[in-house]
Amino acid sequence: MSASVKTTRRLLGALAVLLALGAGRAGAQAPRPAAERLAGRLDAGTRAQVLTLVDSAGREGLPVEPLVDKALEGASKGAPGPRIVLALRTLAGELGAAREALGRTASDPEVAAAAGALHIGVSGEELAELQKARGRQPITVALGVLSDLVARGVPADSATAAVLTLTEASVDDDELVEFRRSVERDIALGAPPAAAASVRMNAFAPATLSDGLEQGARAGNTRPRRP
Amino acid sequence: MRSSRRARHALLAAVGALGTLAAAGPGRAQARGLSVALDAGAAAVRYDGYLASGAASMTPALQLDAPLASLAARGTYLVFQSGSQSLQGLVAGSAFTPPAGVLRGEVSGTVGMSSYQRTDEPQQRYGHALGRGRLHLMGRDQGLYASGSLGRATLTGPSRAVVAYGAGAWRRFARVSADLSTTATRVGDTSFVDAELSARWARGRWMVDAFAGARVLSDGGGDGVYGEAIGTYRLTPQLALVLSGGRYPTDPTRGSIAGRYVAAALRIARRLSPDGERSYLRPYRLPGARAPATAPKRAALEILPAASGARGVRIRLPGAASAEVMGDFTDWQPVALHAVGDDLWELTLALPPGSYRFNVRTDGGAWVVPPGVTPFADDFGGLVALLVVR
Repeated sequence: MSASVKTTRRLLGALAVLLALGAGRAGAQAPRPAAERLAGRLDAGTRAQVLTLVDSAGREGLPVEPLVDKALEGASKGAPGPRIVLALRTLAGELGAAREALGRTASDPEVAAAAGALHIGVSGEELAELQKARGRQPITVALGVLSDLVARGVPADSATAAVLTLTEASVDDDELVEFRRSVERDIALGAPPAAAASVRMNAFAPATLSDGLEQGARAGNTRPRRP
Repeated sequence: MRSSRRARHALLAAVGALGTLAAAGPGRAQARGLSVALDAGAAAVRYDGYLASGAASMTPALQLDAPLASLAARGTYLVFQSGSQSLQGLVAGSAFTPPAGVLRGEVSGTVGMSSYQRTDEPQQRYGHALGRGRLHLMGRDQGLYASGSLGRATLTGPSRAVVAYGAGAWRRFARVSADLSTTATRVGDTSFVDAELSARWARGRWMVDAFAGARVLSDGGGDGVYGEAIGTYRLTPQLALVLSGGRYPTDPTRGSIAGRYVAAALRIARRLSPDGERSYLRPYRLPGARAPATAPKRAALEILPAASGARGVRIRLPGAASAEVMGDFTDWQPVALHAVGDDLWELTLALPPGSYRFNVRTDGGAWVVPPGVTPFADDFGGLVALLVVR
């Protein structure tokens, strides 16, 4: 190996380490304490209940940022205190169920995204299946796509099946996002949401799996015909 | 030049054209909604009344899509152990009517030819041209259809009339779609009825299509049961192994005889459509997805890389003079967005990967979900948008 190649490799290695450190710093940005974030945003009674819920979630190893975010959202939207507390209790339950479905190794963003998916009708078993299909890849984007599809009217079971199928076919995050966009476009064009998801799922499976040329999709195309 | 030689050259030219299309940059081809594929493989086949034989095959194909129509072309070149050769070509077009309630019409046409050149006999040639009308009754996950076809089929000599009519039903489940149909066909003096059941199952890298059928009430078209299975295993996004086998019946329209076979092929496929859109010659598998309306193609929400690990959140807000955003990433406090032109508004944030909820407002109005972005119920009687950052 020449000296210049070695030097280049060392430089690239150093660059990779720097990038990793940079990414780590961005990702590890310490969140402000809940009490500080909530200060002056809620009435005293609601704030106390919210902090109790947040503390309890923290002790259970659940991500607390989504709870604080939800409380702040409710406050900014002028929701009454009891409604904010009720929304937080529901979310705390969903975060717990999401953690249980995904296990201790799941990151906080994954647990938060999974809680959102549970909220719209995806089951814990399906979350676990999706996580298994993704292997070591984060499932945050897959869950975001899943939630989007359900919110667009695709039945939860159909949306989950579509995302699972694409995930198992090793479709990456970019393609999942593109898949979601295509389904949304089809729905905007008047397609029934479930049909749009199903058809686009076939279309986004890698070209060789589902092929618009009907090879493999129609009897006769692989036959060695002769007159 | 002998006709078989000319045919080989034509097929090679087609393969070359496909290769050029596949290798071309996506830009121009994407605008046309084009997909191309090439299968190269080998088969062991035993035609009814003949000895078993091996064959090598090459099948180029392409598909061109328009909003309400599609056009497909496919060729197959077969070389048998004996040195005999078969060449087949098919062009099929299909056009759909806009949905009228649950009803949808389809008009399609197929023109095909096939030739068979034995080493010791004159070349045999078949050709057919068919037009078909179909009426679909479409539900969300199931449907019914009825069809009628008219056309001509030729074998060297005078052509024969082809008349076919049939009906079918389909249903889609989570991972499986199934289609049950029956078709009565008359080609000249030959007539028969086919009842067929087909199903597709997909999981992971596998996709399996299975077909089973029975030919009954046959007068000159052969009878009995038949079935095939085709398994496609994806090796890479553009490369797959295709395994198939089974028994298929005589096809008097196309001029092919019944046979049993097993085949393996390597498929190279490339999707050149701009949004992954594919052709769907079976519209009952695409209920309502080809409406004549238009939908926005530009993203309403984009996340852009920015300096120092930050990200730019860009939102399309048509007609706004001022815009603000509030969400998980602003502690739900309003923050002004900056206009970057073309109805786009932007904010640069340090956002770790995760999902974030937000709302926007324009010109001091109500907090809403941006147009074109999926709205979620926000638990407080309103709607909220979701932003997922990788």
